[in-house]
Amino acid sequence: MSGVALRRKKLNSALLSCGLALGLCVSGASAAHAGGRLLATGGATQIEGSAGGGIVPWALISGYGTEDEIGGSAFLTNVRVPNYDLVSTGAAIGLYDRVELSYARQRLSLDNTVLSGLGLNISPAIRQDVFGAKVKLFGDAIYAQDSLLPQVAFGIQYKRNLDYSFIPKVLGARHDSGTDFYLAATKVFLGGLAGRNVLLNGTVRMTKANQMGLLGFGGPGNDSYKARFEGSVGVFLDPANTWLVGAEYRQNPDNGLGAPLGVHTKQDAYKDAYIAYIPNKRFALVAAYADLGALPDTTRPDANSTSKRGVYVSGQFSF
Amino acid sequence: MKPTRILLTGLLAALSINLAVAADSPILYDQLGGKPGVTKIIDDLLTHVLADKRINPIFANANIPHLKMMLVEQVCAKTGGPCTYTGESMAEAHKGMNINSAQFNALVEDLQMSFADNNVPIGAGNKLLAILAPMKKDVDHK
Repeated sequence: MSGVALRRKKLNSALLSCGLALGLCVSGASAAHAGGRLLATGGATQIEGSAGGGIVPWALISGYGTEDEIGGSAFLTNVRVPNYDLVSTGAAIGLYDRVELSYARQRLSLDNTVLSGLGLNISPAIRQDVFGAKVKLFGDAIYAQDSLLPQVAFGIQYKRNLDYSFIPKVLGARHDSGTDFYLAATKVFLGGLAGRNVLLNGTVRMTKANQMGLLGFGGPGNDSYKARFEGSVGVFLDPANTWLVGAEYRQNPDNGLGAPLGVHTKQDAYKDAYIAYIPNKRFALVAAYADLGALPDTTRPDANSTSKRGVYVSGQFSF
Repeated sequence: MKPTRILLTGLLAALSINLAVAADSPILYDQLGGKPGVTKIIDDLLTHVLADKRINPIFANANIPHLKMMLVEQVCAKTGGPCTYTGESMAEAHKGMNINSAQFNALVEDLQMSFADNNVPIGAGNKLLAILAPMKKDVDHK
């Protein structure tokens, strides 16, 4: 049996014990084959399930598999801002450090005050599935230290809102599903800042999504694709690259949601400042302070709440 | 100006300052402890490599004292030390060995362990890794 076939067999058994869908595969992860890539090079998992930071997909392929290994990860993320609670969970598989396939289920719970302006006293939830695919096009984020060329990947995220007909449609969203296309460039500068390794990532995303799709796609003000910029910076604090601190930024399109209600619920950029702890290739923990900008709130005349700031916590297992 | 743009601008400025500072600071060879420092780092690297089941079969028939000498010489030459590398090119030296990324990365991890053993300053270790990193393309799958 060849090495690759053997690894595939190990992977199959690991996935079985993992139960792929939920980020609860402790035994599976520790039994799985340890990938041959360097620590932290699989990134964390961003909120839509792709390898990346907290909110931005990176050009890195999920997990720790090299060009002749399969890697992957499973994650659970919770973002809490006033009146909103978002849980995202899912898994990704990285094929030969080239292709990444991912799935995430997002569930956004709304506080009962959010819709009280409409005379409703309920705490609804909006669910969304995100199916992702990413392919590394060229470059090596870590090893190409003799050039400025980053690692570049192209990705898509197909999103299907499962609760579209209630809130998103009422706010004027046009579609219950949509596909984001993105190009991500990631580069690590070894010893780049005060001797520390520095990660820079820039992503351009073509999207129609309102709040990542949780409020549907397109709207009364715009129903065409917009190019949006997303960026991440990070500094590895220690020689083993166990601790990473940084910040992220993600633009969103403003499709004029709220028009059917005679209001405008504008959509701001997301921002966060994060700290990641990556003690080994099995496990990683990310905590962040996140600013999601204004979110719909029918109790306010402009239907926007003030800026929503809160905490982001994410854990993941990798192999 | 958006906060993130300020952050990015600041970071890029810091990166360029860092490059400028690096040019004025003592040469990397000295930061690594000169000849005794580099020799010790390579000695400990080989100790870790020969104990590393992932890659030690590759070195089963290697002439370890010669390998150590060549590695010390190469690190010395590449970090501004008073040496000339007299060994084969990386591509020649690894021809037919079919080294893969997992094996190359294992060696990097062993080198990082050696840095830790020898309390190599974080900046010096990362700078050495930055110098050695581009060699991967000359070593992998040859």
